[in-house]
Amino acid sequence: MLQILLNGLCIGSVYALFAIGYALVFSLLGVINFAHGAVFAVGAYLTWSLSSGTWGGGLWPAYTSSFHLPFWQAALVSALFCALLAMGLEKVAFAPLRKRHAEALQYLVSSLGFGIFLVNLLLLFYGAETKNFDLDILSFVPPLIEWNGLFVRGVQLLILGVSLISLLLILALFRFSMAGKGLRAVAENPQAASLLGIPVPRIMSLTFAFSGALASLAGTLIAAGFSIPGPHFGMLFGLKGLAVIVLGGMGEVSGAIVGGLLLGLMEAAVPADYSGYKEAVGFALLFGVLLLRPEGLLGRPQKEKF
Amino acid sequence: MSLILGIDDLHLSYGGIQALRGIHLEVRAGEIVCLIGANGAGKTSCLRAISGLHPVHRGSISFLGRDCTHREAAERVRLGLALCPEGRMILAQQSVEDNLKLGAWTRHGSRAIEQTLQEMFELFPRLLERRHQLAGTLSGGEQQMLAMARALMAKPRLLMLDEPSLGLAPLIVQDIFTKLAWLNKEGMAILLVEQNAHLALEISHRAYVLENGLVTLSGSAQELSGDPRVQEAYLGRT
Amino acid sequence: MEGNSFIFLVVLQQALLALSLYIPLMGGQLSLASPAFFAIGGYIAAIASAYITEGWWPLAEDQLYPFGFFLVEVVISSVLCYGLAYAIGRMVLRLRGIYLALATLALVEIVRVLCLNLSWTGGAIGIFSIPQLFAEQGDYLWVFVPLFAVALASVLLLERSRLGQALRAIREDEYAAAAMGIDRARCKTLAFAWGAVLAGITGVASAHLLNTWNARQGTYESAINTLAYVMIGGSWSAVGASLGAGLLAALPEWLRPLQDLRLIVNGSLIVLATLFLPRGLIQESWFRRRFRGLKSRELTPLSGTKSPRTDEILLEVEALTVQFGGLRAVDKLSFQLKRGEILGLIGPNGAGKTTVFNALTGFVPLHEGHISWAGKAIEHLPIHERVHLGLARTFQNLRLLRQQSVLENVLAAASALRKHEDASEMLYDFADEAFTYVKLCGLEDKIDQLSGTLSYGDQRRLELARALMLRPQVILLDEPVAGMNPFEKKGMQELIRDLRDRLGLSFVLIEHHVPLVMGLCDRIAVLNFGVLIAQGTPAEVSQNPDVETAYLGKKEATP
Repeated sequence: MLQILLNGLCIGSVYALFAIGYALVFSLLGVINFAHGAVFAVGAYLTWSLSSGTWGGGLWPAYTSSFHLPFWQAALVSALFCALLAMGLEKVAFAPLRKRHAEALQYLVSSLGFGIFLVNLLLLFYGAETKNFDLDILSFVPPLIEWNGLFVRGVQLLILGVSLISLLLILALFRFSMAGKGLRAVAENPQAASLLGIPVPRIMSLTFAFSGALASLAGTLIAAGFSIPGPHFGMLFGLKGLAVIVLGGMGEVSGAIVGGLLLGLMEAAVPADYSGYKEAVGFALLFGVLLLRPEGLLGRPQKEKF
Repeated sequence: MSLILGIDDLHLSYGGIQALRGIHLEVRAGEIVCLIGANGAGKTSCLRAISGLHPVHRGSISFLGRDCTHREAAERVRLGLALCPEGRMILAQQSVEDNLKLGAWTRHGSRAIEQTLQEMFELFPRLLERRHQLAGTLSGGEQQMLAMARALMAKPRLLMLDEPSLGLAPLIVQDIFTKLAWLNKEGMAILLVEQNAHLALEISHRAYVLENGLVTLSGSAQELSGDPRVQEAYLGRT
Repeated sequence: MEGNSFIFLVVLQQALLALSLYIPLMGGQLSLASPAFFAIGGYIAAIASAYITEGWWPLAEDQLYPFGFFLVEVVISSVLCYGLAYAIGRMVLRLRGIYLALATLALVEIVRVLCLNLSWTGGAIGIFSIPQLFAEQGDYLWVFVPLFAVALASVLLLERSRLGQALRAIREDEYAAAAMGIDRARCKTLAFAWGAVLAGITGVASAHLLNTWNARQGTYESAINTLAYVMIGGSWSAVGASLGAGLLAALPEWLRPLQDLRLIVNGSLIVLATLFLPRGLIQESWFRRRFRGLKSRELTPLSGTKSPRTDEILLEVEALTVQFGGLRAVDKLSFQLKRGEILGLIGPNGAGKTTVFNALTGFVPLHEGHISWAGKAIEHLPIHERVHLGLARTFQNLRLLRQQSVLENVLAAASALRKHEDASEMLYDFADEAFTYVKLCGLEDKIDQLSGTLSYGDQRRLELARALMLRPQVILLDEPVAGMNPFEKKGMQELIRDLRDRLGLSFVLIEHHVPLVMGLCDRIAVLNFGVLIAQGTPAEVSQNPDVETAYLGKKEATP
């Protein structure tokens, strides 16, 4: 029973880590960035290539270079690259829409297109086979931890830890610092914020950069802990990630953690006989939550002014 | 008197409408200048252009001798230009005090900012009473005061107000205009856009009349109050 | 020929799916549920045809499946999809925007997983050897082309009907639609259900075309792709949505020679299209109808008697209390409105005046108290039913349909009129009546102008014209002259008085402009902090010391 709980938390923290960047962009800018999953995948592949020295494998022939970096450095470089990539995404796919006050759907579609573009670029370059990290890459983390008859993989604890720490940092920033209040001002009313002297376009870029770095980190950890099954794995996460932030409440970043863990627990709780239904469990949960409490578990109900 | 704000041949359009078709206006140090005119004449567009919320495609804006025509809104605030926008645009989900502190975003020195905060509370005692309340729970008049105080927190050289009397009870409007007069006596230059032409002309030194995107009349407030065209169209006298 | 006809079939199939997404989208509902109903339709065809050919009508090796049975499958699928969608729709259509999209995506996934696991859907393998309707694949065009033509024609007809205009209003501003008497839940559910029916029929036809059917036919990815294509093709026009989407969906087929690059091209096209074609390839403005030769009509006054003012009590409010959390916005308010009366409601900002209007019209629930209309209690009625009784309102913050013209805005209010003997389903039959109200409010020169581009004063007049279209007995006006210059204010004052004198309408008026209130109203009620502090004639109220302290202060200079 407790093992199921633990498994659930581990699966859940994977979803949560993915969803934090998603939730950050939504809570600050009010847009769903469907390309988040693609950046996640780019981050994973890049870290893999930088640490193992292997590149290509798709239409681009595979080759091994002698240049490789230790894991953490590779992860850092990848995060920086993805931060820049996300900033570029914002400039190309979002900023022009903002200039003409496009409806929310347009952002969705535009980012979707960008996501498809990136994923297929990866497909072209790397091909579709599974990529694995070398086992000794994560040797600094114990492979399997046992405690009172319960088993958990070291890397899963690491993922859980990183999610929680990032969440706490973000929450602290938002609530207690002046900068955080400025960010919340941008979220609430970008025009009002610019009248206060807050450089709104720069803040939006930085938010995207940060979410890109988070996506890359998430991709790296998940790929290292499990594997990279193919360039589409980010987009599959994308849908679940969306479910996670709705479950947790879309305006709240902490909702990403709550929603993620909840989803993980629900999936872990499905008995083995019905394992075919596992995928649907999350969505049944989502459906139920939406009917009963549309603003999610932690969200605040939207007030309309007449 | 030195020139604080200079607008020359300003053109602005949006959604296919030419809102401003070549505006010229000035604000000098220590003055209160008002812009009057019917809705749709371009008054709000003018302030939005000056504050940087809307791009202009022809003409120039200079503030304190510097060209600001294409600068970002946030930069203009840093130079000393503050706007109390139409609809107030206060941050409803944050407290009164946070709203005020955010007004001082462009300033440094926590002690100086704290002192300005105290000055604002003296000027607007209602805000002191409600300092920890969420700004969204304030009444319309209190929100207008908050918007003004917030703009003043930046210690601007020019304070612009867009329709401060809109939707407010006559009693509150009097209070606000009294405070504006006081601020001006203390040296603040003010550019005021108002639907209530009577009040605006009463408090201002000079005025411009805007019609369909152009300045049709300008002069001292006294001259304009006495002008029969203004009286008929904007002061409701025939 | 084989390859070309297949591409055409793909185009038509995708165009049909795009239409099934477009129909709920007309009402602003982003429903991605089509793949679920598409899959269900296909399974119905597969299972039904298997059942029939095993028992009743065994088929020889090359024998074709009778067309009659295909039609039976279509009927079964339609009934099932309609019923299922109606039931789900009632539950789910309270959700807005992205939440609805997610709920429908969740639905798609649930259906897919169920189909993957249940035995009678063939599990992961699906169902094979579905009987063929035609010998050649290309002959299926005989099904798909008429199907698409009928579907498109139906949608175009729907757009010009009252239901279509109601959906359009809901899409642009749901609360404005409610204030126009539109039953939002019913309209949204109908649109959702019809979209599902179309998806189901497409599924039935596709199952026979493809010969096999499995759970992979209804995935969320196809829904998201359809959405992208509809947005690009033109999300505001049926032709754009269907043809644009159909052509774009077939694009990967045409780009086959490019092989692996084609999806990259696809993705780039989506991004470029969103950036440069904001409302899609096909603009609805190409199809906008211009109105010509409209004539205004004689309007009949409401009460038969000579004098518009009578003693009949139309609206009665008793101890009305509205609470938001801990705040009492309105506290035990009581007043009456008689026929032909103009009642002013004044008070400081935040006194609760707009909240009173919101409670009267049903936008906000009341905590305690009663509201009666002609003696009947109405406090539990939904917004649109109160409008049908004869209670109309305007909004302080203006809720016009900004993307539509002046006349279209007024016509939108005709979409929910109760049926009279001569009422037609087609909206444009009300154009003359709409024009009458537009002319009454002084906007007859601007009937084709987009309401979003009107001056502020004109927008306020348009809201009044729209309220008149509802053929009300009482109009609640929320700051009708805010932002107008004195000349315009006088005009509005005269218009309101004229409407009362000639047509017998009654008004409740919220306004800050004291001279107008004093000059126009028969009686005035003064509110402060949600409480009624004075009530009476303008003379009585202006001399009341409490009112002076709370609200009037130094008198504004009057001529």
